[in-house]
Amino acid sequence: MDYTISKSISFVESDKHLLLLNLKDNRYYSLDELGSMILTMIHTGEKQNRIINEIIAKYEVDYDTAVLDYNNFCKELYRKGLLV
Amino acid sequence: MSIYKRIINPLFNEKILTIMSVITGVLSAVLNLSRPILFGLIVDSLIVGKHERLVYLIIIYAFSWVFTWSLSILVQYLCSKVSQKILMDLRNKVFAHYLALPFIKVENIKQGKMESIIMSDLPGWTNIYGTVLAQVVHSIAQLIGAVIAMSNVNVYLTIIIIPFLVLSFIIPWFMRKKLQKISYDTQESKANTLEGLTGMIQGIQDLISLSKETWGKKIFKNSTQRIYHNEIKQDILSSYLRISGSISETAAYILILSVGSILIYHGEIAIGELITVLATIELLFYPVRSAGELFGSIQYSIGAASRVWEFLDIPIKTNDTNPTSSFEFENVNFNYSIEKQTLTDITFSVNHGELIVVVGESGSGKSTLLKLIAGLYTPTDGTIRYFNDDIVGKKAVVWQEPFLYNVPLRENLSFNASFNEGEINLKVKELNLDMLINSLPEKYNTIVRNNGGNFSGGQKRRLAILRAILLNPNLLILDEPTGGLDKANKIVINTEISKTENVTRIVSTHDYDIAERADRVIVLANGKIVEMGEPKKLLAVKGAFFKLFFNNKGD
Repeated sequence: MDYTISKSISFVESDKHLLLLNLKDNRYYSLDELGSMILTMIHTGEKQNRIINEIIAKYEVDYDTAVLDYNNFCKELYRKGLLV
Repeated sequence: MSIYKRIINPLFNEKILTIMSVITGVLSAVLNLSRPILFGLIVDSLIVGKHERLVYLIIIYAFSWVFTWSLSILVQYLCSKVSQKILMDLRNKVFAHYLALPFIKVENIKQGKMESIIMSDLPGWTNIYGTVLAQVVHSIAQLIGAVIAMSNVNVYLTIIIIPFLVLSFIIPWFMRKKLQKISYDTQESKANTLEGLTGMIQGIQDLISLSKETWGKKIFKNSTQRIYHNEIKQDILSSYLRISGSISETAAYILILSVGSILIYHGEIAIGELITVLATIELLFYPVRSAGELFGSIQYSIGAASRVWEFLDIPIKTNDTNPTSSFEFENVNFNYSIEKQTLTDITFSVNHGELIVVVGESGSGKSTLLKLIAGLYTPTDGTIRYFNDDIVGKKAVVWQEPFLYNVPLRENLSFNASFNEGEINLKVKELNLDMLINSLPEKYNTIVRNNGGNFSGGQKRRLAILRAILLNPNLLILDEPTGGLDKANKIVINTEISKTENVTRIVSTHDYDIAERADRVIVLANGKIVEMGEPKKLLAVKGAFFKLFFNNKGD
């Protein structure tokens, strides 16, 4: 499934992580390297397949693991209202 | 102090050399004067047939030339030594004055002005102590000697010459202001050309890549045209002075020849006496003949010296600020000019070892604030207090565009202080510079050319940070240390800054990476502090700090 970033989300990237702020509830979230990569790619409009391929290439995992990680991460963010 | 006093002043520091130059100059002039007298005696001996005396006189005549040549070389050597010594001292004085100026004045000095003062104006000025000093000493001694010698030969003929001599001196004297002005203009146009050329050379990359060579050529041509016109004006005025001297001399010569012939005809003087007088006129008018050139040179020197004095009269800074690692700003205002206030009511304090990050849009006053902290500027109003006086203030600064000097890399990093390669190699590795250093043909001994033109922007920045860290500072100021760098280099630099312990670090930046690691962040907008505090707390209020970095402001 393809996601987009919620309009209530504001973020800034640093060399260590990606810092997210949900403007609706004023809660900050810090994403690790993989999370930062996925969210940045979603922000630039990349499709699911492209993101999964990038995870496979960068972290040398199999396809199923990459899909699982991607889905788990996005569902969590969707549940928190950070992705739509 | 009058300009003439100021011109003579440097000679007082070279008393012995100057006195020796004057004595040898006078001796040389006396020898010059002896020749027409000898010549007259030789003619008289020839007429009366005293051959033995004639031989002696010819030998003395020949020796007088040998002595003259020897003294001439000696005079030139001494005068050259005087002028070169004065030039060397003045160059050092000018550079020391430049370094002692308030930084704001240094920033306002036109591009190329220092080069033009040191390499063009100063030699133009001190030329007076070399060739001109020799010429003046020689001329004055010769003039006085010739008048005395001539009056001993024939008082009547000497009196006839005096009005012509006076006239020859009066004309250049009245023209001196005009010549001084033209000389100043010539020197000014030369300096402007040099200043413009320096700017063009520095901006050559933009000029060529924007294909604006025609514009560059036009600007340069205009400035060379100004030199051309001023030089011609100066040459014409100098030759006018030369000719006026020559006319007086010729008139005096003709008059003496006529009056002398009449006197010989009436048997009142001998032929040898007239020949002596005629030959002495040559020596008498030598100073007059060279008066034009002499005046030209003196006025040229005054013109050049005036530009140097204008610079030396800029007041130096009254007190040296030595920033320490903890300090406070209280209601500090700063402005470059009366019209525009750059920083307004800045109040904050810094404790030893803190990492303070200054953020704000471009033009918000970040670099100005850093220059105040570094002690380069002094506040227009308000107070900066430095604490921890017991810790010797040792600051190191890395500006946005760091400069690498045209010396070996080793010297660029250490400024000739001790250089422990083993210790330095550790820092080199941390800053990811080891591959670069190893790739250099002579490692640390490689000469850096053209302000580090053979290094990339990132490499130069990291080398400058290395240089700053090697100074073991307790106050480290970094102006946009990661600006324009790739992510990998940003991480290297940010890690180095944040892990440097027991050092107060003041960093201006546009990067969130280093801002989030700060103990405190100062947010500037339009020269005012609009927010200050820990980055987490500032994020919580979603104010100016948040708006600077987060992509969606939620407006």
